Amino acid sequence: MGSSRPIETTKRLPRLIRNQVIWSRIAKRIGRPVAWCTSGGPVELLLASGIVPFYPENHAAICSARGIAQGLAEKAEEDRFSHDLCSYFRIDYGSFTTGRTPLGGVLAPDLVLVSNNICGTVQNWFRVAADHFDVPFLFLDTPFSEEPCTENDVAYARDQLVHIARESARIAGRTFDEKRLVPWVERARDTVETWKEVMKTASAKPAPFTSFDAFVHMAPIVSMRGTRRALAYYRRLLAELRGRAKAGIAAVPNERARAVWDNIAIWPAHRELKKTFRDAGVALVADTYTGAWGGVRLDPTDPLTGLARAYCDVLLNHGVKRRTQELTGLVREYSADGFILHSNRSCKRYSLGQYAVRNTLSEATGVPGVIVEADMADPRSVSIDSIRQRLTPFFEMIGAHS
Amino acid sequence: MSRAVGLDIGSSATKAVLVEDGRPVRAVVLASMPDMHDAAVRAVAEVGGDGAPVLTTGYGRLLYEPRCGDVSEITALAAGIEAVLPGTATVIDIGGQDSKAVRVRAGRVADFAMNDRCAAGTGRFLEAMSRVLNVPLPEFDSVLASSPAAVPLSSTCTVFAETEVVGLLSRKTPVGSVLAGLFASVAGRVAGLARQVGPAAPIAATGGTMRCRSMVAALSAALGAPLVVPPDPQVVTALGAAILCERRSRA
Repeated sequence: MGSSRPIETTKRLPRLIRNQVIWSRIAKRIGRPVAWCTSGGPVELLLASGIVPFYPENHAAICSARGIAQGLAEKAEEDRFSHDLCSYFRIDYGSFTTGRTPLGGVLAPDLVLVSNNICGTVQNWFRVAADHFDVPFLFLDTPFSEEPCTENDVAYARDQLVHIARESARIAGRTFDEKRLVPWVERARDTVETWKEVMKTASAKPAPFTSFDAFVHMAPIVSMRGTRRALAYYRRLLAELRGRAKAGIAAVPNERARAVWDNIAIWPAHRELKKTFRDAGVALVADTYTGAWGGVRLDPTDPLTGLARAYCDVLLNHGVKRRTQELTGLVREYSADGFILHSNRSCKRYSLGQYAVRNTLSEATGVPGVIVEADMADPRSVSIDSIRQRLTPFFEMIGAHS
Repeated sequence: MSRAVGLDIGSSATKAVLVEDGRPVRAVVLASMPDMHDAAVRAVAEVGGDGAPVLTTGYGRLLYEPRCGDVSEITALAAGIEAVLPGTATVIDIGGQDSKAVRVRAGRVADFAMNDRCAAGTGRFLEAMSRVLNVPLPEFDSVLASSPAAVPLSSTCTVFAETEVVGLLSRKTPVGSVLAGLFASVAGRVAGLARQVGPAAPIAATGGTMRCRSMVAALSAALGAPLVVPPDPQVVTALGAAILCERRSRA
């Protein structure tokens, strides 16, 4: 069934991230502007103007994984933000208002760049941050739709991208030049393609890579997309994983069943969950969360139109039908025996309609699914016992035993 | 002769069933608290299972040794209901700490739903209300018979319902009417859970709560479908564990 040993490339990840943090600080010190950017923001425009991006969503996930989320979220609640708001927002707010961060100091923004293609909350969250730091607020409005985006949507987004490109260049003391955008978009496209191939290696039986690995390895595709070092990292990872797939090295020893995951990871319980799956012999072979970055289709021949299309077309900018289609594709492509829908208290847009998704998906694929209730980052809304209570019978149902 | 014990260490009660050649011969129910481990050891001894393989299930399933394995309550319940009521398509179980609806196909789990992290719709809710109303659980049926008109309760949350019940009692609402309202509240919640799995008939109901006839009636009314309750509804999950244990031992 294949042996198991850690993925070698993983050892390079902490240094890659540390260097990124160090570089951001140096860049800030030598006068390069820093932009706080949403995970679905058109970062390529910033990079082309020499602006350093920083991702508050990633930062909140790091705070959660490092165990300091609760105190930061409580700070937001003390300041009268509801406990029902996104935990990433509350954690980030707690961090930038108190200065507490595991990254050695808050990297203050010179501008913020927001797209509502992932949710409506980010628009308010980044407005709060922009007000706090008294910096410009750049916004990309992407119309939410059940159907694929229209040419009108693309044209509307493109107009805004032109504005964002000019404004961000002006803040950086430059003039926007579309030609300078091309290499960034090319590398971003290549990185996305490589990331997609990395994820595809999990279709091998046994899977050499699981979503628990992807949750960790996704950091560069989110925060360093378009850079040479991110591309080099994924190429190395891909080569190693292809080798492991060929040699039959399993990510989960004695893989007995395979499952697909929907929604953001549960960071406060990441390790315990990984172990729960491993002990049961269940490989989490694909997920819609890290998969979202593989779905970004970029086009260097007409970079602005390509970016407009790509950022309108992200998974969370579409409704339940599209999410169900995406999951159906993953269940089939990765030969999954079942699926897990994380009902994420924080992320309403991602969790809306999951009971309908569960029924439709089961009917379409013929495999069962389970819904687990938790939160991506707030440990007060995560109970590992409660999650196991649902996963154990589900694992038994799909042919694994814990 | 093959012997096996199914041990269901629940949050309220610990249940043990001894089977011999696939037939249940004895069942024991003990209070789990204050010492779940002690309750488990005593249950196995009292059921006469010393020396037989034990398969555990329930919240406390990992605390008993030596065991030949452990299994979730859902899987054990499906096996148990097939043994006592063969052909059951859906089983609804209201336990001490959770409630669940399971679609069953030939003794195996086809689909299931559990209550979320909330005591509403569980035995614990009724225990809490028993304390507030000062009516012991076994007397629920007789109190209810004396005053059948239910008052609607807006709260399904155990904590808020307690406040609401205290308010109703202070306005001299008959205890039986409050109780009927509480049953309707639990039944409505559990029926919603059952609808998640698309309950197919015949539908069985299990768990200690089902010893209360009024609960069965309320649940049946909420579902709009008849319910079949096995003779000893509290030990069905333990029986399922015993059957699975015997099957595993044979394999």
